[in-house]
Amino acid sequence: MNRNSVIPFALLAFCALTACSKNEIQYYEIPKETRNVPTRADGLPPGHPPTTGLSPGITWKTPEGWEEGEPQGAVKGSFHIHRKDRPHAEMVVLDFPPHAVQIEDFANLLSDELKIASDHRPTGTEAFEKFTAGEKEFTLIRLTSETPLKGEDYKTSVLAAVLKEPSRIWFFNLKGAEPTVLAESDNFFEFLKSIEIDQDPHAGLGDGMAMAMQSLPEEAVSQEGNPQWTVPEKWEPGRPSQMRRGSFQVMGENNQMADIAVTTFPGDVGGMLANINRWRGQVGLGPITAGMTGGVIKEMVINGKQCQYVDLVGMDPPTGKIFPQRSLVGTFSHEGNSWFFKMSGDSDLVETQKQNFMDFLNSVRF
Amino acid sequence: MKFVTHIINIITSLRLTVILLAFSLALIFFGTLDQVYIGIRGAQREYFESFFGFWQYPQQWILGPWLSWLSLPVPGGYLIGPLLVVNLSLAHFRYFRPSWKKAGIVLIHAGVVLLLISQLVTNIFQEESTLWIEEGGSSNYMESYYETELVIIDRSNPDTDGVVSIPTKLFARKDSYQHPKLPFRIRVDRFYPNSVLMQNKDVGEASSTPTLANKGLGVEMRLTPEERPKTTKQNEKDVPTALVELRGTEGSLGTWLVSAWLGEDFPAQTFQHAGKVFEIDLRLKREYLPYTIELIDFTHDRYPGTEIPKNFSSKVRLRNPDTGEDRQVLIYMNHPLRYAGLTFFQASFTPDDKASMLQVVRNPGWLVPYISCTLVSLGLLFQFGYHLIRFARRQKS
Repeated sequence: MNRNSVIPFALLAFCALTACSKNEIQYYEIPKETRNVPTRADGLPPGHPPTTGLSPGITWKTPEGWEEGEPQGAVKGSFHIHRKDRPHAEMVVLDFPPHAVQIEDFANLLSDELKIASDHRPTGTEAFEKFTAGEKEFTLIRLTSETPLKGEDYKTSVLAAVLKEPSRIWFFNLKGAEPTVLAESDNFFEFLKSIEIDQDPHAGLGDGMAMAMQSLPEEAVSQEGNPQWTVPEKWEPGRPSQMRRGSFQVMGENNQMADIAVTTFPGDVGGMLANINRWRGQVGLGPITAGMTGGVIKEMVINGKQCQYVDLVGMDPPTGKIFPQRSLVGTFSHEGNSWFFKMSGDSDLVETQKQNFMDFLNSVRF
Repeated sequence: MKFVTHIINIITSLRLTVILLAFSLALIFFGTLDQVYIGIRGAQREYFESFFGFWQYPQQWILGPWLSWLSLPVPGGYLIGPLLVVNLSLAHFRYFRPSWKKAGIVLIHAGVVLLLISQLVTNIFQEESTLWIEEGGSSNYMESYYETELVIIDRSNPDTDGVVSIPTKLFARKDSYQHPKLPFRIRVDRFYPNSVLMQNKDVGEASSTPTLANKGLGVEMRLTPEERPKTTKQNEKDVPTALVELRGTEGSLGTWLVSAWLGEDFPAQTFQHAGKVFEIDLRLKREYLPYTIELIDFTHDRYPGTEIPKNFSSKVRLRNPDTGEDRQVLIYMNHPLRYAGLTFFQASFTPDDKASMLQVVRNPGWLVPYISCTLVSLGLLFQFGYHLIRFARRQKS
């Protein structure tokens, strides 16, 4: 046999060895195994992001010149609009659980952002125009700041549309310099016309509010980079999950449970506003705007490190009663990563465990 | 003939060696830059396990929105590595004149070529898994880091379980499976390589929204999967979910939602068919061992008076009923347990120091880098030693 002719056979044998061994259906027998029973109160898997409900799928036709960005946090879709000789504008698409927010609330949030005086804000349903596209009726909000906002050359305008669906509220917000928003309004309405919402919830692309904040899988060396902390008494370790940096649980009366998770992510995970709105959504609260974060975030210094602390008491939007869920979150930024220390669970139990959580947070050392 | 000679001259040229080494530097440079955005696994796949990688100007950098179109092709590891092997080997034969004086150079070249080949072998054959054990507990299986499997487990036998394992990697090219050990056919209706599970909480007590599954936890907990983009980022992991229909001879037995989210903390999804009890599950791919490892004690030593870790170690007991082996081993940093072709490294632990994670590595070529380094060291030693002695002799005379 020619020496060269051996090479293809050797290659074939090599490929066969590498390709066929692992990806086959296998059958094997093992000694009898048993499986545990559920331990998490909300019935969701450990490490799974809490959810607020189903989200239907949505599609649209992106106007020319709109550059689509990645969905992030509560934002279901985002677009950057760059035009020659015109200042930048942006468009976002958000969705919320039904009744989470009323149209007037939206208008107020936007007015806050644009620093519009309270007596110049739209009030009452008659203050809002309607726009119909097929069977969909959008409520429009048009606002312009009274003067250019700090650091801006132009007044800032908002052209927003709210679409109420039985299972969701959709919010489309075009915001930017006044001339750009005016110039893009035709595109905005074309965009609204192109929207198709798949009412089959299973076809959804994801719940913006319950954005997959994938908990951190512990890699082989993950513990090495952990900060130090002291675990309060009565906090039981969570399952040795590969999904978190730290995992604890605490039980209360009547099978109440609170879950404590330590997670970390590179960067700022979409910014504090997106994080807060995600956590708010998880306990049934509506979103807030950038201008309102000051009233929500409590700045603390823990062991020489800046910590942003948030306490979110859930509400049941239709009735206004206290929702049984509550979240306490402490966020640290360390070496380019965000560290989240989060306790969530039954509202009563979280209240009784609040001091323990604060002690836990105060014990964190990077 | 001239053309062939020209090609041979290029392939055996030492200039090519320098160019390839320069490309290697560029590869490492751009791979490292991108690793920040796509993670180690992503960078490895994009740059080092490909023939060409494409580096994109990051959106986050200065002028990112305007320069993100900028894409730079970078020769990948699969291109540079083999070319270097060929180039080094052929150049060696071209320029080498057999002589004792150059024996060291032969060894150095052989060591470097062997190192390159061993990296390829490692890349193809190495498998990494994890093995979690709680103190006082034992385990006889390891789990893959990333690969998952759909399993149907026959629970009917009082002593053993029969497991049919289908790697989810197969789902991309085939959605229907039949196995002689199973009295039904398996059909994968939908597969979400990365997902979250949504609970139909806000659609009323007696939810009118149908779930995709009609059997098992998917119905009981009213779960619906939602797809997420696949990720290779550091600290993120794909969590797959599938909707699986089982079909017997008399028709459909039902559709189950199986997910890697529904881990050990959830009740098993069991059902009866043809007089047998089966369980269906989607989980990280397991490999069972013919022996068990028990965690006797996990120790996390700190420097006295501080919380600074000094050492962490797992005292384990290895029991192999086939060989009658029963011994204790201490696994700690840089002192792994090597047993039956596997290496168990101390890798992680739970914050309460009650459970330990061992990283289990199977690398048939683990010895080759040691041999390569020995060859290179011997070569260098010989070559420098030889010249040193000659120099010393000349000085003396």
